[in-house]
Amino acid sequence: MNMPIGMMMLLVVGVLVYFGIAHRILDRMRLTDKQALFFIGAVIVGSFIDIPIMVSPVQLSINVGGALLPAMLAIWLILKADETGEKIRAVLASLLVAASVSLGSRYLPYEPENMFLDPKLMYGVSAGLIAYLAGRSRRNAFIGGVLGIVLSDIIHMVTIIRLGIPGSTDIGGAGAFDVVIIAGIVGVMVAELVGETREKLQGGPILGSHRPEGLYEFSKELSHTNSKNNEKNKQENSAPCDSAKRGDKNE
Amino acid sequence: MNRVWKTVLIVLFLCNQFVLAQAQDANAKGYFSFVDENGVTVYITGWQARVGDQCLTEKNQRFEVISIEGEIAHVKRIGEVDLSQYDQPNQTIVQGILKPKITYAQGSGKVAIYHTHSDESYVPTDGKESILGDGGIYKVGQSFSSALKAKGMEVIQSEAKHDPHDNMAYERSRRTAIDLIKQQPDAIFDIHRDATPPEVYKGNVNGQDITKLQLVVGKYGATGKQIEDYALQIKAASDKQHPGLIKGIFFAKGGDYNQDLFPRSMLLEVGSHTNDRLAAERGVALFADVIPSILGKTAAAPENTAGTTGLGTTDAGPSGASKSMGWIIGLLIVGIAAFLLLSTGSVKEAKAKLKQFTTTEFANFLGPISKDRKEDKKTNNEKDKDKY
Repeated sequence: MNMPIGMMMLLVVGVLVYFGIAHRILDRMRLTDKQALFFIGAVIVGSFIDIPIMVSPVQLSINVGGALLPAMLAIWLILKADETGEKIRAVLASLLVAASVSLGSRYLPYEPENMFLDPKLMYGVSAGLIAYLAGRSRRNAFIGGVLGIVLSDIIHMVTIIRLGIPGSTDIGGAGAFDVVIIAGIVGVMVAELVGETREKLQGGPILGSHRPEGLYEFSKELSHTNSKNNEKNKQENSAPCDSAKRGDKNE
Repeated sequence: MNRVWKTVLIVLFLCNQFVLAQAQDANAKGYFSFVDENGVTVYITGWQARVGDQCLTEKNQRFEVISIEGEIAHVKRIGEVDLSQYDQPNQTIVQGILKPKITYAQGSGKVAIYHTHSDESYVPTDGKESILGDGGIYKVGQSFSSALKAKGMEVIQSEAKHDPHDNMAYERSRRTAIDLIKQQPDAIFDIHRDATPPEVYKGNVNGQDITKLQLVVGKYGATGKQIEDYALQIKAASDKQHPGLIKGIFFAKGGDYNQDLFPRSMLLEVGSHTNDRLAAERGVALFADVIPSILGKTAAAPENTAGTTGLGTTDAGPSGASKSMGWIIGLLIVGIAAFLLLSTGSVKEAKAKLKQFTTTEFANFLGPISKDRKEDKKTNNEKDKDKY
């Protein structure tokens, strides 16, 4: 493949930013930083593996990186949910997203010239909105986005079998760049944006001395830690300030 | 209960959008005419125009849609695009001597072809405008493929089907596009046909009755600027070899048509459903002549060695690829700043959170492993699990 430097750099920047954002999102899915990084690595490797499920009446396969791994993570998140209500809301969100994708794909403008929002983003945004309203949860938004698209693919398969249209279904076939993962990521971003904006509109977190107990305040904590470290440094007269020792991390 | 009502309301809102969209489709008569300030029709396309959409005509005049009235899009002229900066550089004597070796080393090029709308057909030859799973468009793709092979190029044409012709077709064809990209092509084409009256695409090049082609650039994604440069480069090469073959370029704001996946992706419209398919096959075969000159090209003009496909130069300004990178990084920075402000509530808190992120995250990944840090990481992991 012979490609000019500009195109190559654009590819590299695009991929780095995409996986960087994916990492920050997965970090919120009960995964630690390293687990999230490992998960992304597995998704990339898995993107090259398609598992055939059936050949007739239509070809059906599932991509490991694009659908199997994210779907397994979503199901694990449902199982790990603390309350039964939360589990029900997650399943409900997935079903609603699948319904909105299937209805949307049928009735929304289908010629690219008529589209007002790219389908990849549109279904991610609807997943985020539906899941946020159903459960006000980022995890639900991810589950809704991922499982909603997987379910919509199954609905597509049933539709083409029923209507006798020749075709095939490759769930998550575009691997790491499939709409399954994009909808999950965009869903969480929308839920985050809506949730944070709503909180901000309602006055936002109270800062200073009246801040509710347990609500994290970064600047205060930092100044507190730094002063403690400085004191320690003075005493030991060695070892540079190590803010990583605080044992807290970014949300 | 309140939450259930809100969910129902949002679903109703979405359904309402679907109905509106359907109504909009039902009202559409077929094609859009772009009319300039003097009342002259400068461009016709089956693509529904939106305010802000742009087009480049066959004569390289660029227009932007400023208002829509029924199926008339009122446009204003932006100016004439000088395609000479996208021309292939003149070959030096040394390059001429080395050329066969360079060609041998680089290979003659690999082109991938697929069809998102696998039903698209041509009424005069195929009988119908849509044949699910077996549209006439595959035969147009085969003609393109044969012409490229005749030039010694390697071609992969996907026969994958993405029907029905609905809003998710591009998401299904995205999987086909990725499959093809895994095979490392030099360029990838998604071949379609338009929906206009026949005269819009009818043409005669080198004494042959053909249908012209339209290039479509998805301006939705951050990579749109780079794809725009690529399209202008294709038109410049085509105008040089077969003037009149490319009817124009449509810059659509509604999507990225999977052009975000690969820098040399292009959506081609070969003729319209009202044209003869054989004429479309001849048109696309002529277009194959242009491909070798596009691939492997790094300079935009003799004096512009970095070129529009490189990073750009002081004279020519930043290239499309550089602009696209700027967009991606700019959006990322704005997004992070907005998120930090929203989530913390004040600039001071946002700064503190950013500082905390840069110190702990990178220390965690790149810092030396000490006993103390292992302890810290353990605490971190436990805290991570408690999040949300």
